[in-house]
Amino acid sequence: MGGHVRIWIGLSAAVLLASACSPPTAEDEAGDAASPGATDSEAEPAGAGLDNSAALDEVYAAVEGMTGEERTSTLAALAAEEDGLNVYSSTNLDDAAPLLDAFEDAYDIEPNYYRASSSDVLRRILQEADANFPGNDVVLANGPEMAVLDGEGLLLPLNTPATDDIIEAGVFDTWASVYMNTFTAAWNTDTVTDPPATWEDVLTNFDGNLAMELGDWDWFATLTNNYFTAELGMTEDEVVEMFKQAAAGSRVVDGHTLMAELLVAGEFDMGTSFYHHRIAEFISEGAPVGWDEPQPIRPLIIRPNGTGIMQGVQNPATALLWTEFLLTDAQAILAAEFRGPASTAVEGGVPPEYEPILVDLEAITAERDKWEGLWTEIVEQSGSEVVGD
Amino acid sequence: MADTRGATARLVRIAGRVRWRRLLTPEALIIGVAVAIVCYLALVPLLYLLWGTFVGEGGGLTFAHFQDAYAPGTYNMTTLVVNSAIFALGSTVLSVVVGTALAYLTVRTDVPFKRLVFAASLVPLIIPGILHTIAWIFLASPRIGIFNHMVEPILGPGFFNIFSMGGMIVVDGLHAAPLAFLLMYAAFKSMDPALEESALMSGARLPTVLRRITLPLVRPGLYAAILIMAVKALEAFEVPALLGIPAGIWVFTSRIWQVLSGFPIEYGQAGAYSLTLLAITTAGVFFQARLSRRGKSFQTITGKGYRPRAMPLGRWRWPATAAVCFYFFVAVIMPIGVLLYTSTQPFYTVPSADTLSNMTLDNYRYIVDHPQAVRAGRNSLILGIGSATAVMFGMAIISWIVVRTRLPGRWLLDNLAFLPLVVPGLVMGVALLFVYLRAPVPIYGTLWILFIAYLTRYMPYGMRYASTSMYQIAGDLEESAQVSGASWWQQFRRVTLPLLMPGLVAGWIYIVIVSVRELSSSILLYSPGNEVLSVVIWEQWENGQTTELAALGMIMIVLLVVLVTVGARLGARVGVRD
Repeated sequence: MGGHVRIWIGLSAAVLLASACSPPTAEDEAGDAASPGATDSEAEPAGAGLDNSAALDEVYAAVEGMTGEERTSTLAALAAEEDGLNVYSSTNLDDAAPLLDAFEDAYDIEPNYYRASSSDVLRRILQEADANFPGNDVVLANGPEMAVLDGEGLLLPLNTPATDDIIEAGVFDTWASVYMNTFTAAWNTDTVTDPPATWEDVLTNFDGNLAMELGDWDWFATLTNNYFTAELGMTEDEVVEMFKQAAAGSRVVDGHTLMAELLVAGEFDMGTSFYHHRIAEFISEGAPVGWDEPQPIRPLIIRPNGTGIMQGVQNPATALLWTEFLLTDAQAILAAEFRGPASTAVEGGVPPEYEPILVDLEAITAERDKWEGLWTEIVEQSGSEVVGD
Repeated sequence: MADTRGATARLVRIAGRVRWRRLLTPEALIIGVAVAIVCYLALVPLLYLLWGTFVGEGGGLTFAHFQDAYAPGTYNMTTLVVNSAIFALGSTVLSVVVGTALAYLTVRTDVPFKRLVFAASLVPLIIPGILHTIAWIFLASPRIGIFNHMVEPILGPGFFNIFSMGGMIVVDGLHAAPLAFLLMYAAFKSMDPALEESALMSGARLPTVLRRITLPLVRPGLYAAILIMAVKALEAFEVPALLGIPAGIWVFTSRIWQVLSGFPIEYGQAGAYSLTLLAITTAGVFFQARLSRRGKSFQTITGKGYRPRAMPLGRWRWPATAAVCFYFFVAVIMPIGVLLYTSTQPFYTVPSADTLSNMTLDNYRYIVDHPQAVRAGRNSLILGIGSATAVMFGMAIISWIVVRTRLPGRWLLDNLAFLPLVVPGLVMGVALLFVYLRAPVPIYGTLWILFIAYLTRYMPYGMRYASTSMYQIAGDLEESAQVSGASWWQQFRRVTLPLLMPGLVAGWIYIVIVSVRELSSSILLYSPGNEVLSVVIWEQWENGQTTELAALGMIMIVLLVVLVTVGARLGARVGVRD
């Protein structure tokens, strides 16, 4: 009996302790910017208490009218007085390492580099912004995620001559494209001796041996809007039906990476959307894979990866220095890694004669639910019998 | 009269003070702190989940997320449920049968190569999930599968198809079997063989003994294994994503992934799915506790002399050895062989004389030179060993409260400790971000936040391991210690802990291994400088470096097998010896 009473004393102590350091509850958070229940888009403009735009404006004023070496050295001098740089990025470390090294060599600043998938980078930034925590100075992520951050009011205006050489469609008020991810169809050259010439061939001639990617809704939306509807005059319903038929006999794969691996290994003959730089790397390693011999499947779809300065920026001069570095000096480094540079002054990436189409970020962001829903309907046909078979 | 009343009141007050002082013992303190930690760890994600699921925009109660989650839409809910159930059932049966059989043979019989069996049983667990699934695609895919090439002359092309419900069950079941193995290993280890020996001496045959004596005695372990396997299978993501989706087989987790990967991120809908899982699991925990608590029927470690001893298999020895060898060939040798081969290639192609002559160690060189791999390995090791030790010690105390005491509400404590299992890792990560970005404790951006995440995620496993063993130990040994004047702490440290040791060591090993692989919370919570190995693994995977990833996988297998063997040896020193 005594033992039980003693244990209850322990439990009471436990409850007291637990309540003393309990997690924020409904009450605690009632006045906060966002509740976890609200989806992130429903949140108030996040990070309202963290608006550090004045600090960035001061930096802009200090380098107003300057270009070239004078601008860079002024920024570098201001950056030297700051406390490093925090970068959140979806660019993998292998590709980023030469950029980070070059930046450090030039300015003696080693950025803290947090790397995760674009959606995880977005999740972390939204959570930090809700809590008014300035975790990063700059962000480097996929176009759709950059558009979301812009829409949430989390990025500061970007005023820099460094965007002068960046392709026009890749420059926005608060962020600019750093490199282009090109998506291309590709095939296994051991099994496909007569490669297809058009998207219609790809979608209809590889029953059972075609692969599609699970999360490719933005690729699908751009191809539908800018090619099937605009150029071939098909209705949206016809396009969806054609894709459903193709998906029924196809393999839907989770991840472009795995899809490329399996294509090279010979698991299927053809895939709709691979990262061009990955296929180029495979070819350079001697893998049996092709995408542009005798011709690429036109149009190719490109999606920009962009950079922007955060509203709560703590190191504004370093953030601007890094951003300008990415948009100028880093472009040649990216081109050497098979990444398509966003600068028109640097050669590399997919040749312009292949007529790549840039994803329409604004349209896609506005209609995200619709296109995600349609793509889900399509990929869920995977593994089912092809109608009419 | 008044004086008497006053004296009585004074006496009561003095007695009260004396009792109060007696109650503030180290025992109460230790138990109190352990319970507080469990409540805290479990309630953080749970409150977040409940709040996110049931509280609407204006702060009022809402069921809209449930309606959205279960609205008849483009996907077919019945199919989703049926697929999930078949997959979970199949995977559970396979992993529990394989794990139990291996554990029985290793602990209770004289099957040869025991040490090898123990280490090798864990290998499928060590291989990162993505890599394990890919190894199986390379082994049993209809077009490029090595197994298919082997049987093609006899059975024709594409005999095995890994992209099917059967394939999903085999791959997930084999990957989860080590967890069942470790649970049952502990259960068999804590079993006094006297009853089996009596049955054998009375003329019963081995299969009869197994069915009528051995298995009924390890029922708490079996129930725990079945429960944990079923929940794990319902939560599995890699296998349904990589093998199910290409075949058009969708399960619950594929759906959770979808709602979490879009924007706006639908935490509310994910919460609705998770709470459904929570309801199923709570029912499971409740029934398991009821079934396991039927008096003293499972307690074989009593005050009597107790010597765990191996039983001779007799004429079953060679068939059993053959079965073990077959398992190792299929579940260990072949996947490792494929990974080893892959790790020496620039890219994967079906093995041929050509590719075998082009082997290279470049991938290993890449891993060793990787800027983060070594630091991440060190961080993972610190976190793995730290969280495994803390979880198993804490859960030893909690399981003592749940199993040994008659405290009302102890069942709730059991359930609380189990609860984080049903919270998807990603939701757990977001919940911890939410809390520690606001809490006045400066752990955001340090290893500590990862430590808390791992404690929370692995508490359920620790609890199952500890309580399974606790059910098998009779209270009379502890009572003897108390009668002999031992304090609660002395009794717990000198009697309970050593007797629990097989279960605690098994749980420790499991947590060390799986924490090294934990990704979904880690990726959100790590900071530059605090990378963990799973983040590096993910990085390789995202970059399409399957061959480098295979090299890292091979290094991990070697290191973890060494670590686990050392851990098991150290644990055996403290526990009951053969």
